[in-house]
Amino acid sequence: MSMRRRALDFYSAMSILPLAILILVFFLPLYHNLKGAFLVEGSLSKRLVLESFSSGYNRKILLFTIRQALLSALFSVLVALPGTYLLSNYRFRTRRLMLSIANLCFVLPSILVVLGFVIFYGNSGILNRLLMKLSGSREPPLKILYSFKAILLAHVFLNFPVALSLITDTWSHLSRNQENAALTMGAGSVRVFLTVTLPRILPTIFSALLLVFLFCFTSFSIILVLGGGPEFTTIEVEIYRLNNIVMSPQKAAALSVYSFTVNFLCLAIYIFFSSNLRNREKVRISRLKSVTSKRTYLAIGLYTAFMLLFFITPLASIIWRSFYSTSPRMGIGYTTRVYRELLGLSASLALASTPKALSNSLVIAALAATFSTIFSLALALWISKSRNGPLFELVAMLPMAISSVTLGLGYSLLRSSLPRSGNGTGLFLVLLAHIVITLPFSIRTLLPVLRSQSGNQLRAAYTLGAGKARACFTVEIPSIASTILKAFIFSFALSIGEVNATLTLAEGKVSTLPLQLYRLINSYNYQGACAVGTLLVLMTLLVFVLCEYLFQESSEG
Amino acid sequence: MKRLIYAILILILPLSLFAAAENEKSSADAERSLTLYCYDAFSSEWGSGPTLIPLFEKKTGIAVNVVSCGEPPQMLSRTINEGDRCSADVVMGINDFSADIAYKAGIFAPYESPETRNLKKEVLFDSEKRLLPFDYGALAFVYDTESGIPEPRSLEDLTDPIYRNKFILIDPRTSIEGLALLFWSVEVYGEDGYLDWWKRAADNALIIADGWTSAYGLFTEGEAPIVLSYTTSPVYHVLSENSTRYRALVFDQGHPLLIESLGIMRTSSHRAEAEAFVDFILSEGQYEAAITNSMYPANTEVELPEAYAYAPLPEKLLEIRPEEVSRKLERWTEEWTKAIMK
Repeated sequence: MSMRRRALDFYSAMSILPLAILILVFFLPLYHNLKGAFLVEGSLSKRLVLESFSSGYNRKILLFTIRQALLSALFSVLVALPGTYLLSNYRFRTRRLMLSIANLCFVLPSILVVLGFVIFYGNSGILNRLLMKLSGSREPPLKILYSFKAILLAHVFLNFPVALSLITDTWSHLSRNQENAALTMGAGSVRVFLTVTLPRILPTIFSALLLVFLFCFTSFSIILVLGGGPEFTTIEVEIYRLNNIVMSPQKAAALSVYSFTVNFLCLAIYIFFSSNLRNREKVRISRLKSVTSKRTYLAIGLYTAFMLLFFITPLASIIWRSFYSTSPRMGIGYTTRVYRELLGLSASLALASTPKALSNSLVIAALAATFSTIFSLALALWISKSRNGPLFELVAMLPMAISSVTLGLGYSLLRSSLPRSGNGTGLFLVLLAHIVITLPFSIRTLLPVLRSQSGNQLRAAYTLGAGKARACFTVEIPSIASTILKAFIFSFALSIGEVNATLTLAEGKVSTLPLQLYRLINSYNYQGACAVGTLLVLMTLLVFVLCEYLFQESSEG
Repeated sequence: MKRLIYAILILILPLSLFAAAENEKSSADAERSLTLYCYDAFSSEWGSGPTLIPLFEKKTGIAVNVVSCGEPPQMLSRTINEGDRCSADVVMGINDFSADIAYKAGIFAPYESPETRNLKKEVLFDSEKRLLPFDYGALAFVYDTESGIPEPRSLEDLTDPIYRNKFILIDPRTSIEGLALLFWSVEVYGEDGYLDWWKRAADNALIIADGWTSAYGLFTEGEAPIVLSYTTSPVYHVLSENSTRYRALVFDQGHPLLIESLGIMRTSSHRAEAEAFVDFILSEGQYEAAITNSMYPANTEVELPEAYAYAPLPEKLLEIRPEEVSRKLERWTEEWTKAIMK
């Protein structure tokens, strides 16, 4: 037992640094922020928090926020389920492609998603113009945007991948022995699914629901732009109004207490469910069946087509728009002008700084992903071994439960409490913030795999006289190398698309690709913005393809 | 494992070289200096800061230590929160809407700049000269002349069924332009009638966007032929696209102003330097500041580029009353939300 104790000391020692960063960059700003809600003129009071909820109208807003998040989560999971069935059971050529597309959607900055949706689904978007040409009508036939269904559509687009990868991950690792036994005893395949498979993937489905709910609960610009109107007001919008327009940060903080409570509960339930999955069955994915029946072929074909249509079109629209000029002075029509400007081949004030923004993005993402992976590995090792694992997990995952508006509030408080800031400080803070933001996702990737490790190898290493550090670095970590790489890539992609924290902390001095995108939109340069968006999409895609390639190599080698 | 390490190394190495190439500048050590708080857009590489600051430093020999403070509301909150500890000598970019919050906090000291005599009377909103305006814009609807629909001539016209889904409004809860539209409606319809106009207009509008950026984006992407923006917006299209397709609509009922101002901190220990900076911004710095922000310069002596002929300054301007705004803003935006949410 003392070996276990000492091993724990070692793991907790490794976790000190990441915890310190979490406290500095996340809990300190959060504390500053929430303090405002309860401190009225220097003394503790519940008045502001209670007041912010006494009005029926705030309750109505909270109810709407919950409703849209719930519906978004339900649809995301429903759309993902057929896909998870195919991905978990069959081996087929487009399998990796589907998983890559799914990951790509999730890490795109929401401004890019909004842009892509408007260019494709808008009233004068590609789809409507095509239909108008075909039918000869002058009015756009499809009114998709600026409604509740547009919000759901965009939320499913962004979050369905979460459900897809989470459920596929559990389902494809299930041992098929029980199903086979049931089938042998004469149960029909539907009955087998309902009574044998479903109960075992139900906790994961529930986890996926909670996670998507969490992301949609704090959604901001998608609801405002694609919803198109104030009848779709969420609690985040109210927090923003109180803070930035009414300029009453205390009231904003009081309202954010409610949003925080809901998110905190979600996360706690999620962790409860996922830690119950710790004894999951470890089966190699190579048990996947090859496709034999025509019906399965058809199903795979249809689902792949659906994914391509639904997911590729908004992204392809952005790429198309980056080649299409609408400026009379530059000539209307197809052109590579913005790309020439972007590469510095022809002069342009607006786009000249893009290469620098690109290099900034790459540096920040590479550093953030490296540190985030190292820190999350340390934390995940500790969490998977400690008796209080779920509690620490909750602490480390909390940044996921805080909305960008609330976090932004905290960051500006943090920034103003720092004495003097040059370029370096801004860059450093952005880096820290990115580490904290990507940490939960990294942990979420590592933890299930670490929990499913039997520990036999580790015990063997101890018995053979290896110290805990040596055992950890030569046995434990190498055995999950491919998962570590996955965590790294995912953090990298998330960091490269991050907007809010960068915007708040960079003080306008450090530009990254997404910030460049914002500025181009702000200065009416949509074609340029789409070119930068294209760069962002291609980079993220490249990273994922690279990951898939390396992942494949290492799992086969 | 080795493969993993190589992959990470290959990704990181060239990038660290990039990072090393970036180095910091520090300008705070000069003998005469001042600290300037501004919003991010001013100090960013596209803002007027990078051009204006070196001009000022060269002319006066005073080093400016620029502190970028986020969006204008965050900048003001920060300045107030820091109180006596605040290191700023000048704060630049306070809009007239939030002026009253600054007055109440008592953070700015009056300054009778010799340049105020050249400033446009209508924009000199603070009689005590704590905050001095450096540029301003007039809110207006911008219209696509190729859309084939008649020009609206008033806020009331927009509620006409022929404009159904043809225009984009902006939300007063998330945007300063939206807030200005809210005041505009109060000016025109009074406190008893503004919500009624909003209900009718909101039903008729294509959307109420979250901010100017997305509103104007949807407009130029052809989603609607009319958008809430500034009278100066067409200038951009003339200058960079050589297009006069987009025009600002001038309504007889008048247009609200959005004024940006700067002020010297009461706690400033570099009063002389701060005064020199304010004088500079209100004189030589005017052209650069206004053009970059796509606003009108507050100084009436400044010569504007020809393209400003496409930025018609309305004859009737509606002034904002900061005291009334700060008293009623929370109530108005809340009533507005209740009315529009249904």
